[in-house]
Amino acid sequence: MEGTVDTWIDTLPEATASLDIALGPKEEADWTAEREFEQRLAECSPLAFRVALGVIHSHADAEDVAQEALVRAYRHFSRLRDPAHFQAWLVRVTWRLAIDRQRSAVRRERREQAALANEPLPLTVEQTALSREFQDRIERAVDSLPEKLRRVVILAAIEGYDTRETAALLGLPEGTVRSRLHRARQLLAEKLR
Amino acid sequence: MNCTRYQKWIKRAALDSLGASRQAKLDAHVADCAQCRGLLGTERQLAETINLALTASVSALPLPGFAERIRIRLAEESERARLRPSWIHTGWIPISAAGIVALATLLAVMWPAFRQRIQPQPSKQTVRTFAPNTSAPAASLPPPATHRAGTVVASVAAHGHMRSTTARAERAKANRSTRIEDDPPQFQVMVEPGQGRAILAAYRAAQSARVGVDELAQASDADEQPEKIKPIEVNPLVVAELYPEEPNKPAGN
Repeated sequence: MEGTVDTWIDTLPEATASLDIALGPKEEADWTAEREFEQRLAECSPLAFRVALGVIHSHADAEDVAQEALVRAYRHFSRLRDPAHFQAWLVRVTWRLAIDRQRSAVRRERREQAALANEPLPLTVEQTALSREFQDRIERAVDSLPEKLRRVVILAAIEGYDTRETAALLGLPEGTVRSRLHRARQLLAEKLR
Repeated sequence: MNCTRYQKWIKRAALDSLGASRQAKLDAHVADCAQCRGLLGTERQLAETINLALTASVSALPLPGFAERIRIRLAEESERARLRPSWIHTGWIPISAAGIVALATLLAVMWPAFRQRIQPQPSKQTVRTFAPNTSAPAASLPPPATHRAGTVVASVAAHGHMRSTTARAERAKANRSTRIEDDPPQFQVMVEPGQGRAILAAYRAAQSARVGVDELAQASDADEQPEKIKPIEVNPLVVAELYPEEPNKPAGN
């Protein structure tokens, strides 16, 4: 279905050309904006989802939040044509929506139920890290961090986002991001030791 | 061996934030110290586990069809927006809120002046006037004249206007930026007892902010004329009675 829509949009200019339909300036601008948004959607929807997931730790809720953030991005797309601006804006909005969602009691209950699931004892570092128990502990530890540290540690944990990328997304100097990251990891180690 | 200092460094080394020279010293120390080596191993393992867990917690991708679900939602929104009357737009909500706030602020600012206007008019016993076209502050204005049984003194500009001390007049006066250099001379009108209509006309005119001298004069010339003050009749002083002439004494007595 996704491919079908993409294909249809890709072939739109040819289709209109063969039908000899001339797009007016407004229609053409709208069509260009639609194309650009499609491109941003493909690039940034995983990022929005992961940011939301880093905050609320629930796939279903993270998808809801990412959807909402992207719909808002679509509404304000005329102001967000610059890709870097779009990404930073999307991260901010997703973060805010995820924080709001996190405060809902329903999500908290779901997480507590999931933490009760019985799992075998882990053996290796990877098994420990990926075990439900440790995941639950680290989620709680991350949740208890101050928001500015939390934001940095979650973004830096997303694959492909190093200190420089994180600084660009948050509009902060790299040095600030580095020191916050270090402080966040220190606190996490203290909580999980 | 003093391990306390190295134990602090070990925590930083596990997070890869120890300086190069200290790292070299620590490496040399842990090579000889089994306790610190074990501690460094534990701390590194913990840091690694945290990093892995953090990465794992945000490594998931949305379920397949995520982009398509967003497109469907956008299409639904567009359809809803199309069916919605054009005047109902979410943009109006903040605009309306801002308008209400602005109106409330304006009302709050205007309320004192408005209240002053709707207050009951002062009793007929009090007529407050002041001389117009003076740049003196309100505090230095002459005190209000009071209609008592005796005399009311009203200051009236010679060009024929009397202004009341309403808020509007005071504001206009305060806002006057240029001083009027050539103020017309002023004079005082003595209102005698019995000039009720004249006082009333002056009072009403003062309330409406302006009054013409002619009007005031006509009012005072109306049928209700003041009683003319009769000159005090003083009996001629009989000097002769006070100082009776003494009989001329014969000269030389």
